[in-house]
Amino acid sequence: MDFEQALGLDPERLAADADHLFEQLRHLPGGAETVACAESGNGWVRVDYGCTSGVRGLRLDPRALRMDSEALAETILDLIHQARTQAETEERGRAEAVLGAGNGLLADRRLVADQLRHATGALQENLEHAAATIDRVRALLRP
Amino acid sequence: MNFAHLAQRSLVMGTGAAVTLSALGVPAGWPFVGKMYIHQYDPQAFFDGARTWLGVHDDAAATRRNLVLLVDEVAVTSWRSEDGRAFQRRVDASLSELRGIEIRAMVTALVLYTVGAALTAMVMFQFLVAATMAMVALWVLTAAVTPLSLAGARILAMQCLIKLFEGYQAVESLLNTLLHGCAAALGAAVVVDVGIETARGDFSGVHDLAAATFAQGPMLVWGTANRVERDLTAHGLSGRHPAGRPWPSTRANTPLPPGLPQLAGAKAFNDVATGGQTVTGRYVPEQAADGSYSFPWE
Repeated sequence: MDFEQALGLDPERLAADADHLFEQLRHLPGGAETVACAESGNGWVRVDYGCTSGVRGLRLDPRALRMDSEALAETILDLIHQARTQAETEERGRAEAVLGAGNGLLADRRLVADQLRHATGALQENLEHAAATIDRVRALLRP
Repeated sequence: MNFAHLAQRSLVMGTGAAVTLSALGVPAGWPFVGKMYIHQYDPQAFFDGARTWLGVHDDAAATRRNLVLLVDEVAVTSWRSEDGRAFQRRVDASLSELRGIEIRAMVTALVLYTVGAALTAMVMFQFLVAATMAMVALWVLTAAVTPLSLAGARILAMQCLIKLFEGYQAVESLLNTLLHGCAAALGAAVVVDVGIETARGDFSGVHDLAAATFAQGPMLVWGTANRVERDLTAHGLSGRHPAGRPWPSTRANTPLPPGLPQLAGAKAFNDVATGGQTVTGRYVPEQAADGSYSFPWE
């Protein structure tokens, strides 16, 4: 049977990709954490954000202290949010590059999700029909 | 790649995904592993069996046609004596018997094809489930880049796997219903003939059935033991005490003592690697030339 045609993907390659992923996890490089920084438009406020350590640095230009306290707080919160989003995006990209480079588990996931969604309903329906057919055959054989 | 290999790859991939997800704080992958361990099939055997039974049907049909032709040549319409009528009755009974064999062979082939097709679909469905589990594991690995995003990813992955398991269980339940129906149909194909013969006062069919069942005794005992071992291993893999029949217990669904799931995992690995159950697999009853099995005292 041609599994590639039936499943819409090469199962041998996907299984090999999974093996590769699990093998890679044993030897994951430690590496330094991704740090992102965000700066206000006027350059008075700057936030450094580390993926695992959180906010690592906050620099306030003396001119920022002249700002309204509410506006300053809002600016700092905005910058933390920006830096965090940036750090997460960068880290996610780095993780995908390390773990998912050329890996079918990443490239084919939409396809597999669609196939599984379709297969579950179709399989349930076919199994029900098959069971009903076999029951009819059994009824025919009843002496 | 054949069916058995695909099923084996699914189990390996599903186990790897469950281990990874568990390490990431998502234990919802484990229940799949026990199920995947149970659903290791090679549907090719059923297709081969179905082909053999189709051959039996064709042979019986050819014999019946030949017999009709032969009798047509011999029993001319002028043969109206008592001997002629007795001969015709005998021939009619033989033709009816051959027709019965044809029908039963066709039913058996149909049932075997149905089982083979259902198991094929199950093996492929299981591969897609295992691939999805590995994809969820990779997604958690890449999505959980901060402690906060890890917490969110865990919840999403858990919800996804619980939903997936519900679908898996629904398919498994329908498969079990179909397989029970198929077993009953195969049983009926044998019993209907014996029943008709017995109703006519011919008990040879009952004796044959009893003798055949007795001859298969060691295989039936071994099959039951093999199944119990398989189910216990699957429960060990799931990490929880079995629930429901035939395992009634007040500890149902509570976690197993530490060490047992690991032991079950090592055993399951050996089972899959060797292609047979670790304990009962070594004691498959030897089959005699006539298809029966020898008893231990023989």
